[in-house]
Amino acid sequence: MSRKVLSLVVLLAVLMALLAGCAQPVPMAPPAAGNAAAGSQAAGGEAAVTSGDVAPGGTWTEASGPDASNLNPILYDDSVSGDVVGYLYPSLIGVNPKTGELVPDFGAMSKSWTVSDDGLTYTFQLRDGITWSDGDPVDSADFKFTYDAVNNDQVQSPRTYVWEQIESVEALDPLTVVIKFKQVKCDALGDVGLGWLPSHLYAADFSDIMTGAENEAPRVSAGPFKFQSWTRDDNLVVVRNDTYWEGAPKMDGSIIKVVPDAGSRLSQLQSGEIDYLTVQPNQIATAEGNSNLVRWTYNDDGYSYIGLNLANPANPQNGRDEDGNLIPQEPHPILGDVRVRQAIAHAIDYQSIIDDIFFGQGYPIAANVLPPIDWAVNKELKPYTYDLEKAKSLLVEAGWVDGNGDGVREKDGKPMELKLTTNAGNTTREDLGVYVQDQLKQIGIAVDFQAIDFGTLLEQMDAQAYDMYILGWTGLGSDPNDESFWSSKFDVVGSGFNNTSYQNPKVEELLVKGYSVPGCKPEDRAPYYYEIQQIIHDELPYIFLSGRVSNDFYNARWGNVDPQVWSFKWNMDKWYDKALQP
Amino acid sequence: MVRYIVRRLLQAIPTLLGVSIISFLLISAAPGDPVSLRTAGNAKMTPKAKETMRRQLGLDQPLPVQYLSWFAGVTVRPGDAVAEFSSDKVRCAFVTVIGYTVCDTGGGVIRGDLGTSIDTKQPVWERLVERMQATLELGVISLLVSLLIGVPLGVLSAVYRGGFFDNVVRVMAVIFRSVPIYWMALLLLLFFSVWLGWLPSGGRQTVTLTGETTLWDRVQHLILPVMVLSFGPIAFFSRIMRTETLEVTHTDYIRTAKAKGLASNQVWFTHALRNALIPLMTVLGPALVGVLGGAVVTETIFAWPGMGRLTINAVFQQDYPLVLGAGMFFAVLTIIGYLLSDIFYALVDPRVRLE
Amino acid sequence: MAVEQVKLPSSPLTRTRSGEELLIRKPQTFWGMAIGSLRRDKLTLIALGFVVLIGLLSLFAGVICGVLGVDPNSTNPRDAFAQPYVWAYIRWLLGIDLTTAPELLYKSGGVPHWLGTDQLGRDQLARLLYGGRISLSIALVAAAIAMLLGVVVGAAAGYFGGVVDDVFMWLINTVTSIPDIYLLIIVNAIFRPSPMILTLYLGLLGWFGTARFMRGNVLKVKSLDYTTSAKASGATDRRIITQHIIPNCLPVIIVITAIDVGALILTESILSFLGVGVQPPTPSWGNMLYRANDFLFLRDPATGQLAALHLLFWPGILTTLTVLSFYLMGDGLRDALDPMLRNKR
Repeated sequence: MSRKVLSLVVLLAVLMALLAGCAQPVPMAPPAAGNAAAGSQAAGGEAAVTSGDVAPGGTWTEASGPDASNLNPILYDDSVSGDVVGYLYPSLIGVNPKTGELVPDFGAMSKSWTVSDDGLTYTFQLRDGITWSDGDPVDSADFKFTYDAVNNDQVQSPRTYVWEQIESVEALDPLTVVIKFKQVKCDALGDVGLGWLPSHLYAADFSDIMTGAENEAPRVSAGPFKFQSWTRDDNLVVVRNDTYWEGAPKMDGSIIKVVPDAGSRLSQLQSGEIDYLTVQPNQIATAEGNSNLVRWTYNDDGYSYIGLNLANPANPQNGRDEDGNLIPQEPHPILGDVRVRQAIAHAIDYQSIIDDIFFGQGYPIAANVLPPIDWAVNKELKPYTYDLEKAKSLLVEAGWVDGNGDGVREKDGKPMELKLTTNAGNTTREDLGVYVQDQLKQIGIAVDFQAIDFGTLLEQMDAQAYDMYILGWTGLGSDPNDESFWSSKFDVVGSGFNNTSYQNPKVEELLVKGYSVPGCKPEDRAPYYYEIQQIIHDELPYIFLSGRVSNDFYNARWGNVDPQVWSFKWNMDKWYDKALQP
Repeated sequence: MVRYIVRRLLQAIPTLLGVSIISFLLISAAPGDPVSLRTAGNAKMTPKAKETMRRQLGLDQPLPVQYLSWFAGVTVRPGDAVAEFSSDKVRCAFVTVIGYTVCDTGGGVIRGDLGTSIDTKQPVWERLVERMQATLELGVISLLVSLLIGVPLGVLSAVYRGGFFDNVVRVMAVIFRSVPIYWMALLLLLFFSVWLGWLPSGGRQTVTLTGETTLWDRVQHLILPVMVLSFGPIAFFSRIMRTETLEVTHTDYIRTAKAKGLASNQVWFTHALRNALIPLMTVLGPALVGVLGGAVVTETIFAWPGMGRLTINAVFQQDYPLVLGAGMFFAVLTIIGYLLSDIFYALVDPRVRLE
Repeated sequence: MAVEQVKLPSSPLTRTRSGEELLIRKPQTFWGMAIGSLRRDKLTLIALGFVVLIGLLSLFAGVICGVLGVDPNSTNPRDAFAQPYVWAYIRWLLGIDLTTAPELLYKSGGVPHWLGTDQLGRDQLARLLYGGRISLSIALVAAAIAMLLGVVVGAAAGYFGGVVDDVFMWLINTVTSIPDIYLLIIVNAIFRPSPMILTLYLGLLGWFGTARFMRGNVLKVKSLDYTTSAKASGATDRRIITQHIIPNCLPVIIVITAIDVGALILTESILSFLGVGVQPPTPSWGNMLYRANDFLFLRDPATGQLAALHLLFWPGILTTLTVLSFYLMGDGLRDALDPMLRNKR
């Protein structure tokens, strides 16, 4: 037996010697690559064809990783369900797909609204003559019923927060809704956009909201589509609603298939089995090659960031006590010094992250407000530059020096070690973590990177027991107010979003001023947000890695598709299948 | 026999109780909670709203109270809250001795109410049954295919013992057992679906607006997942059949039959095979349970809407009632499976006495 | 099997048999026969050789990587999804393709990536070696834990009977009611453990079969005559268990453990594939496949070829061969150690 082992070892050694010492070819640069296929971007859609001209028909098919969970407009909490809810249920206000502004248009039930002088009371006039598909009118009673249901304790709605802003909801008459807010808040209108429940199908005491059959098989619709069937974890089918008040859609219906694997989804897009997909950055090159696909690239309302714990993780504290007084936070032993945070910000090669990990689908950002919110973004601010020397000198200035030559800096005998986490399962973030760990090693910070389970990560964040984490925000919306990230009111150990323990009374004051401007005109609010961004940029509770760029691909046989920054499907009822046209 | 069955069923009770406690403890030890998980992406979420959700789901109560509520349908609340919580479905009483209000909601696992899924707000039982059909379809068909292929392979292997055929079958059997099931699935997917384009890459059927489908379409979608799932059982069955057949041929009565001059064929089929099949029947129950377990990976890769994927997603989303319900479901299934297996063995083999 | 003339110590029996020296085989112990039988079993020896090879490669992963100049953790996104250098090199050596190899070398900065690179440009060979270390050590240690626990619990349950037996059997029946893959998924998804804790979990959830078997065996042996006589002559419980019962069961325990290791490699790989095993960035064969799955349909835009096949192939084939080897070893050991079966070959 030992003879065999010995001979194996010898064989191994010989093999390795061969590999290492054998003749190798001389490295040679490959011939210059041909021009990359010019991206076929939808420059805003062709001239819209009027509805009367086109033959109806066709089925719009999409694929989703997760299945929808619940089709009740006040109970769902995932985006797939949200999409379907949007097909069926009406909403009080609409969103301008180009600007993100909240307007009484684009499918909104309200045709106008007025605001009282004190800015607290909004009166909405509803459109007349709109009915559910079973003939029952859509009116203010439905709106009131919906919002009262959210408030009812029997209903387990994830949207109870709307009632923290709303004081009262009144259905003055069938076509008038009066909403009174608790305080003047310029982004309050966002809370009144819930889909309406068909109140005539529910018990008045809200006892059947949780268990109603509507949650899985809605019987009525006031939107462009009606519910047809739902085989859970498999597919969901909606069909044309002929009674839709803006005119029946051209297409026969839409199918949402559940395909958990991202690779399979891409494959189905390429083969034409599905018509639409939001494509991951690493798959874009593959999708680009298809001439039957149209690409729509846009800056999304989201960004990736590294959250830095400004407070000592060994001693997490709330931002304020019961009386509302500020509780001073014990600073983090390493990250508490702003120079260290700035050094980290200078040590990250943002462009390389964007190029290599996001495959170019990103852009450097300087602060917390994104370019799609054009009126509020501070255009003077420049993102941190990739400057290793500056980073190193900042660290030295802060007292962190590598005394013993092991590659890791120390101060007062303590080595510069930080833990970095992100959620396992998100492969982009996992790669990002490896990258950041590598880059920070270059300036002498020893980073221990672990991808951990999302639940554990959230627990650590909520408990404020972490050093750094990588996450992203999406769906931030068209209002620049992000008070829940920076205000000490939301620094609540166990549940608040301000888990970086950021505490700056000036910023809090500016945030409040920003949303309490009477009249809420953008030009009046903007100066506050410019200043907020400057301070956040300088103080670095987050290191902003990259703005999100999304890429949607859809099948070119669909006409009238006109994707905009804030909505892809805003005119879905006008889309038609070119292949069916004579 | 009846007494045996009753005894086994009674013995199952402490087992099921154990399963419920262990699963419950496991889930409760999970870091994070379902509310945080579900609301993490919503920037508008406030601490107050989160607390409301936790309270409504009963997550703010101590563990034993939550367990009681889930398992027995009995809720316990401090103080006298009889008036507040009584209704036609819920009967409450204030127990002065301990100072708590005890309410009987009429539900709980012991009464067959597995709770409500946090994800979809549907009753857990409904969700399980929906998905069970898909998994059973896959599992039973795979098992049948494995039997149809594995049994003859095993028997023939024994008949031509030592020959080329035997060696090939044995080597293939051990290889099938060694290949990671998902690797096999991915390779088959690449080969048949991506490269050749012959078979669909996933799902149960081609989706249409009306939901209609043809039998051929369903079969096409079944081919790859069934192939993947049956490799393991084919190896397993062929090994068993080979061993059993060999054992049986060495027994006295077979040698007697041969000595009496019965034709070889007759010997094999009428005597040997029938006796070799018996042990096979007894492993069918456990084999089905095993296949259901293997289905987890297959369902994930082929987008098959079955129990495996349901359970995994429920675990990742911390949908406690669903995970617990699935755990109980499997336990019951396993217990019944083994019981049926033992009963069958006793019925068929007179030498076996059930004590 | 030596056939030689041996001078036996005289005993009445041999003297009366015949006057000749009897040609007898050297006296052989059970273990001696087993090892001899193994030596003749070529297939098992090959399997053993493979396992030892993989073991050595993983053990010396650091040295090998040093010599080759590669590292499992250093990223180089410019060189992501590089095709395996080994095929290009062979073609270069044979003179049929003189451009691919130099181009690959250029892109990788002069260091050949023999088995290609992954999505971050990390060398796959290096990751396979370190990953092998992780996958193998997890499986071996977990199998050891399971064996120890199984033997101890099973022996105790069988020997002492009564309440001890009831409690352990209840525990075993309860936990085995849930298909073990689900249990592992649940446990690991909840706790997302480090490789060490993962090993512990795998061990803790893997001893039930061994325990049941031990218990059965102990019950059988307990009723045998020599146990009763040992007890009658005053042997303590511990002595009986360690001197009589365990040695009797040892052969089959060894076989079960060998097969267990193979099964554990598969289990760890499935768990990692589902994302609940070894977490990145630590490599393991299973989680390398988990990442490769993402890129299954990815085609190189320039050539239209599937770009990630090498990432799919190598971890899978290594896993298969290693598990195969352990199973073959288990089969071989069983054939060598089980006297009854030896006749049935």
